[in-house]
Amino acid sequence: MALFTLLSGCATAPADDKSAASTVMYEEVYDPFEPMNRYFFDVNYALDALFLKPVSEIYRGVLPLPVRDSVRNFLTNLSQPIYLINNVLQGDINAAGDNMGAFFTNTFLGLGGLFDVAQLNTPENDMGQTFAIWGIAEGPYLVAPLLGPYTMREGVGGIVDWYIDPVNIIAREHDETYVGVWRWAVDGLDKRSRAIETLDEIEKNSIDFYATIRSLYRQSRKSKILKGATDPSQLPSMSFGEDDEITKTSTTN
Amino acid sequence: MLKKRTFLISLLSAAVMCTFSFLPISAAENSNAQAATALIKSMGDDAIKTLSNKSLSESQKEHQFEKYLDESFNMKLIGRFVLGNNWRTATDEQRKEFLSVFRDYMVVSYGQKIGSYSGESLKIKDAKPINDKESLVYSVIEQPNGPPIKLDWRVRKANDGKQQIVDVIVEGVSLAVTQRSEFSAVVNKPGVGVDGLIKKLQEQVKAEGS
Repeated sequence: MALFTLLSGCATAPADDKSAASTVMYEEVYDPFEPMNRYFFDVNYALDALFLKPVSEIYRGVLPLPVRDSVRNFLTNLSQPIYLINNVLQGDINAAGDNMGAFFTNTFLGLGGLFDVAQLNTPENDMGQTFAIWGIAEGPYLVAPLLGPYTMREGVGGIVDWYIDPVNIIAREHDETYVGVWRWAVDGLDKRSRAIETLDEIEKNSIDFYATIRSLYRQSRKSKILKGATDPSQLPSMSFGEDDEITKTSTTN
Repeated sequence: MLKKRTFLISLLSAAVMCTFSFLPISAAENSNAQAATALIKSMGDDAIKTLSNKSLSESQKEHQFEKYLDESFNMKLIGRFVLGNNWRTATDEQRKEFLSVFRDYMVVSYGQKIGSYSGESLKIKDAKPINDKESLVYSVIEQPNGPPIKLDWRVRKANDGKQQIVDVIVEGVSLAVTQRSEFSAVVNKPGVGVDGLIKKLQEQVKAEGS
């Protein structure tokens, strides 16, 4: 009797760490279109150097930080409805409530969203994350002309977001289609202006900028889907079975 | 009555045993996590002291960073990890050369950056064991204007019991994983190989270090 209870009770005990570590595979690069992607990466890089980077430097130079923060707040506020839809689709009702609260508070008390009065932490959300939570795989890596890096899942998600975004729908109903385009353009400009040094630094330190960006993109997407928490069981194994004795040789300093 | 009691006791013991099997964290792992936290804390405090010391020059600060790299980081293990599958096929000579140039590459890539930091402070939040040897120390760097940056340290206990850093994870992005991805892309290009990677890194060190 006792044994039976023991067995039934412990049958669902979690697997030990070793098997968890072995399921953490090598980070998938999955880039079947690499030659084409590298070509568009170079095209985008050239366009960035010619246009986006200089413009974002001017934007940053001309507008003081509080104004740029208000631009960011305004854009975030416009995005709250689509974040809310995605949170509902992901079953995260608490986060959806935050989106709702932030949207109404900031729209009415924050001068139409220029000020973040609510101070609720509402991370970016999109259909790509929703698909991920529904269990759809990333698919191949794509670099789209003008739009930059995507994986298939995120790309399709972005298109769906564009069409079901309530703000864009209202704009379309009033024949103001350019609203969505402007939102996208200003958002890109603001984001680019906040990443000037970071991207320069990454480029300077990398020996293959394309591969670095590819890895950074996939990892930061994963991190967003996990809502920014690093899960110890999801890290790649760093054990090589030779018990830390890697080589008998030592580097000379 | 007696039957009922045996049943209850067995149920209780089962519950106790299950609790133990469900506990993924052993006492050893806990003390590991504490030792790892202590390492990050002492290094963080020391680094902030060094960086905020106005009497030190940039190059002295960089030199301090090299000291951390050689003492607090397990550079051999990191080097082996970032070379990925190519480690196994590489000759002893290549491995040795790669480890040496990889260290210099880390110094020129991140040493100068360290010299420009000041005023940010490292706050340790939590530590969790990864396995029997490794723990993850969660910390944030607080910035004067802007949201705090999440910084997780992966720390590993060597055979002699010394705790060393094996990876740094910034906002969910692992430095070691990124470098492994980048290096394998370089090695796998036709006609490059491990020697080509070493050469590229040497050029990078020359260009940056001047």
